[in-house]
Amino acid sequence: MINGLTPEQAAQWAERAGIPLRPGREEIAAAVADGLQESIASLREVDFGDMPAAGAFDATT
Amino acid sequence: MRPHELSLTAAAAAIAARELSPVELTESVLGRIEETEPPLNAYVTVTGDRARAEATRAEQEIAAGDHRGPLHGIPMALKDLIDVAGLPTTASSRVRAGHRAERDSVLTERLAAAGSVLLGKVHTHEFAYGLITAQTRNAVDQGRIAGGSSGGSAVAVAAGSAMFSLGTDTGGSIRVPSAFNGVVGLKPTYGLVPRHGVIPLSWSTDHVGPIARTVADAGLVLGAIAGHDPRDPGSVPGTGGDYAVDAEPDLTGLRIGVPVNYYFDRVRPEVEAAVRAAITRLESLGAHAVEVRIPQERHIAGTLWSLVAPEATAVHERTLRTDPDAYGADVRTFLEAGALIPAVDHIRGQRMRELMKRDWAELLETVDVIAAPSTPITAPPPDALTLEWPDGSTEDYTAAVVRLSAPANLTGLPALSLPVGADADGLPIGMQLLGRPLEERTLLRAGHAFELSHHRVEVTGRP
Repeated sequence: MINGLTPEQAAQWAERAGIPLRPGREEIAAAVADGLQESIASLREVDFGDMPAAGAFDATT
Repeated sequence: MRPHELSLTAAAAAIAARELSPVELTESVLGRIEETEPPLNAYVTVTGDRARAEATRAEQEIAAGDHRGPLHGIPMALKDLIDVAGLPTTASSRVRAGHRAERDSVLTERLAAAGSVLLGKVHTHEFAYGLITAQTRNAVDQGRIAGGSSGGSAVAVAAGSAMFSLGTDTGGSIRVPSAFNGVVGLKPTYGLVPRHGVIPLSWSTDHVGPIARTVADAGLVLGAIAGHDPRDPGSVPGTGGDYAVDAEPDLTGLRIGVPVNYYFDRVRPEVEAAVRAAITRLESLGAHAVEVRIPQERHIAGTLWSLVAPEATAVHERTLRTDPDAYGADVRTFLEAGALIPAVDHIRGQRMRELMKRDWAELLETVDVIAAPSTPITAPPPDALTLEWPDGSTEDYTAAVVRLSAPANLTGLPALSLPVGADADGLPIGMQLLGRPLEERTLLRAGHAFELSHHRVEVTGRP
């Protein structure tokens, strides 16, 4: 389980991410983000060892 | 049989033999668009005059001995995320009002070079961020959803209002509507088909691929669009070539992995029965089935969302600031929520997909192909998008279809969806075949063998 975002936190996080929420959008954005985070949270259990992140960066082009 | 009812392969053969002209074929398909639009509403834009001009040019070129290949003179539709110079790329969104593409996408360039005829642009779920395509109706049962996001692409091909189309697939968006409408959809290996000039949803999991009526048709289209383009940083050098299938494919010795976990969990019984029967058919053609275990099954959905949600928000950040009210309600909410996913979760997702790539590579040393349902259900009505399972659990429609599609997006492995049956209501059931990176030819060979065998059963009652 993860702690859900409050509407106020959602507004602050969105502001901090540079994509501020319009007034009245905080609650639904927080609820959907919580749903996504519930799914994503399983990744925190994983021991990735020395596995690097995948990436599309290509220095040759 | 009217020309638009032919497969691409049959139409191409008839054109090559001068038994069918591109003008005749294009008029037939445009006539079919008149018959089906509305109610199907697959098309955003129909470029009839342009199509007639291109068909006339193709006819003249072929008559002069300049026959470029199987797509020459074949009318097709593009998902409306794909740029065509001079036309709007609407992404089926009000956000794109007034847009007009300045240049062709790489796909448009390649299909034009192959001599194909552009019929128009077809609907997507807004910006490809969803699996419904609400504007468009299912071609088999108009009371059912088209599926998405390449809903217009699949419906047009199924209805005969395009000979083939291109779609995009980030979490199943080629395979889901193909399965729901009874057509063939191929999500190629990540990087095989370049994406320059295609509106992204999520750079790290976006794919472009063909939707067609037969496996052989899909192979012909893939041959025209595959291969490196340096303008797409995900494009793989040294790829592409000919994907035409053999007339008499041989499956002797082909090892088919049948998952004992994940892919047959929470799947409607009719879907499971049809896919297992298709696997049995492949065995009767010389393949042998091997039980396999799908790795990292608990992390598949989370990994996809950790990548797609923040990347989609990054794609749309300017218009989210300036014009958020122009988005549809569902897409807007997902885009806003994507800004609330921590960067470290995105990195965890990128590490997990490397683990998955490694583990699936090991799995695919033991089998040549993995066979599984394309979707856990057949196309639902638009008001029945919460699924109930026999174990008492409920599942949101989007989560259910992403569940079976996502592994191929995360691993980048090729996945071919083909029709293998129908449920009691006559709704199509799709099977997906997954294979090793850049081994589309193996999938096409297996799928084509199944289709030939299936056709023989339908026609003669014997395999």
